[in-house]
Amino acid sequence: MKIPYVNLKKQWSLERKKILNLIDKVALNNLWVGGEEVSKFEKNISRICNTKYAVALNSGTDALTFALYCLGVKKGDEVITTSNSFVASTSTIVHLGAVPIFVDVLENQLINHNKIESKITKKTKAIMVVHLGGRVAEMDHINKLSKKYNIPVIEDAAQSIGSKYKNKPTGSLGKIGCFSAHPLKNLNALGDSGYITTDDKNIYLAIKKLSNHGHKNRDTIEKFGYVSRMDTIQACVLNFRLKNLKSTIRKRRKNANLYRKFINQKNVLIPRDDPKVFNTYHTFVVQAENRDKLKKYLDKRKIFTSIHYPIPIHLQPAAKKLNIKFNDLKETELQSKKIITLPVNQFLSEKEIKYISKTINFFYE
Amino acid sequence: MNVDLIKKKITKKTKAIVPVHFTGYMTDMRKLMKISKKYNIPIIEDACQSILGSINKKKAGTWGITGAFSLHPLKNINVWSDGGIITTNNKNIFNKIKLLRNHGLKDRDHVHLLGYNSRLDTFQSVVGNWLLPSAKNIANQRIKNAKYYDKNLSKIDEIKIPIRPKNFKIVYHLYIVFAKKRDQLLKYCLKKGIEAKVHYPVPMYLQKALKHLKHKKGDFPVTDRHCKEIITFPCDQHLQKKQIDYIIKTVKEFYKKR
Repeated sequence: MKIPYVNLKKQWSLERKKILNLIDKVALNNLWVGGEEVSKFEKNISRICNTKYAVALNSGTDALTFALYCLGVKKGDEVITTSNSFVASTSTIVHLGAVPIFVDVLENQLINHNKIESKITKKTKAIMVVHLGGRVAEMDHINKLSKKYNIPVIEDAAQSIGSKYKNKPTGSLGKIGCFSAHPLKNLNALGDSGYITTDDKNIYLAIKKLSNHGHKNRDTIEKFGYVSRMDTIQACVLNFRLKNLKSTIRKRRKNANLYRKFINQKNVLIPRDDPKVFNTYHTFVVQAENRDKLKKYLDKRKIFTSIHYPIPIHLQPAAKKLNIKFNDLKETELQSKKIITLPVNQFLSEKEIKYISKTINFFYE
Repeated sequence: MNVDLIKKKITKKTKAIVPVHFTGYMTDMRKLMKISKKYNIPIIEDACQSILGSINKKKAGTWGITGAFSLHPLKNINVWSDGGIITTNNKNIFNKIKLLRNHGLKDRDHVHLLGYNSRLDTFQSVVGNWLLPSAKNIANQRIKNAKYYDKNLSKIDEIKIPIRPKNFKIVYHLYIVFAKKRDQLLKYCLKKGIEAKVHYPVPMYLQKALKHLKHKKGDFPVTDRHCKEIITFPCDQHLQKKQIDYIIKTVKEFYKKR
């Protein structure tokens, strides 16, 4: 049995006819950038995320950049975040001249909220919480700190569209929510795309302008911006795929539960789900002994897994230039050697998950 | 860019010169490269509107250290979204930009420098690859259209055709002429169903976003004059001769009536 890690081919085969039709409609409209499909997508997202506003962008990375920029993050400032994320959550901080201040993580890979307060200084301008893999960080605690020190929270929700904390959706839990619609995400476009959510009108208007060269209208530029617009085609595809988001999440959650049932958890740690949190399982990450050997073993049997991420950002070659010593990220470093991401996509069958689980169990026997 | 005015703007702080090959008509790179060499200041060509434009057969994007191109839907080579390209002969810059566009990732797991997300979608590359074999034809058809416009519009006293220097291949992303009573002409054309435009009515130096540089109206008199006189007529490769004739006729009509 061959099990791919992701199955975009399958997704395409189910939607091909409909999406090709939609693309044709966009083409006939003669409008490739902006337009109704984009505003419709923004409306859809603000409804799903329960925020007043959403802005469609070119990528989740740009979403983070604009969020930081709009909060006034600049040279010399500090932003608190985690190191076990995709590099964009740190690079966006660095590109604005600010310093990433890493906090270690909990067993479930999310920021250790109890270790945040000791990292807050006069220079702290934002807390960037990464809802890694579809889980949601301990937002009540984090928002209390935010209030106490008057430091806004940015949610890096790139991997957690539809996830909830105490029934409230990600994107509505901080000042600004940043999402990705990259082809590998639960809600995925046919190329790079992203979006932000917020309740703050000024931030909304600022990001709207920033993403379109700072244009107030065709001929007037109020503030220099960037070009980070969601393609009309991508908005169109995302509007279409939004209809399946609920069922995608339902199936992924079901798959995760099956793993919990079938995998022998003596050698493999599956972090438990916080009952306050609705996890959408963008990734299903377990922590395994002999991870590298296990991965090879599974590769050989054509079960394709992934690692999110084998090298924490603070240990990347690019981080050398930061000239910061990190000696309190023990859990982050430890986990990077144990974590392995099992396929959890919505197209997997129960039989396949049983097979993967059995193979893992067999490896340890 | 009036290349003869550059020298007095150069200071110790000057790090680069960005000539804009506006409309498909290249800045005089022969002169500019001499300045670049003399002062050791690199040139970044903004060739967004000038793919396949050239001077003495040397193409836009091959003169400076890098050339920047846009693939926006309105460009001569256009994809179905935002998109762009850079060109360079410098291997280090090439390698660096390759990394920069994809988060600085050397491979999936190794970040060599902190980068950005600026990848051309696969989809759009397919569209671009499909269009590229037609690039020469697209340019040639636009040049043909422009020559036809030039020949006919030059007969109208109120219209001034910009200089078309010898040895310059102008690819006419935009076909622009200078017109008396421009605003009225523009209105008249629009009324007659012609989608004429102005690129661009407010010069960059007068934009609110540049207020902090404290430029005053009149600082760039030629730029100002152009802003008042320029008008852009459709010039794309899909235009039919009768459509161009109609545009020419309409312009003639406008001035006759006044």
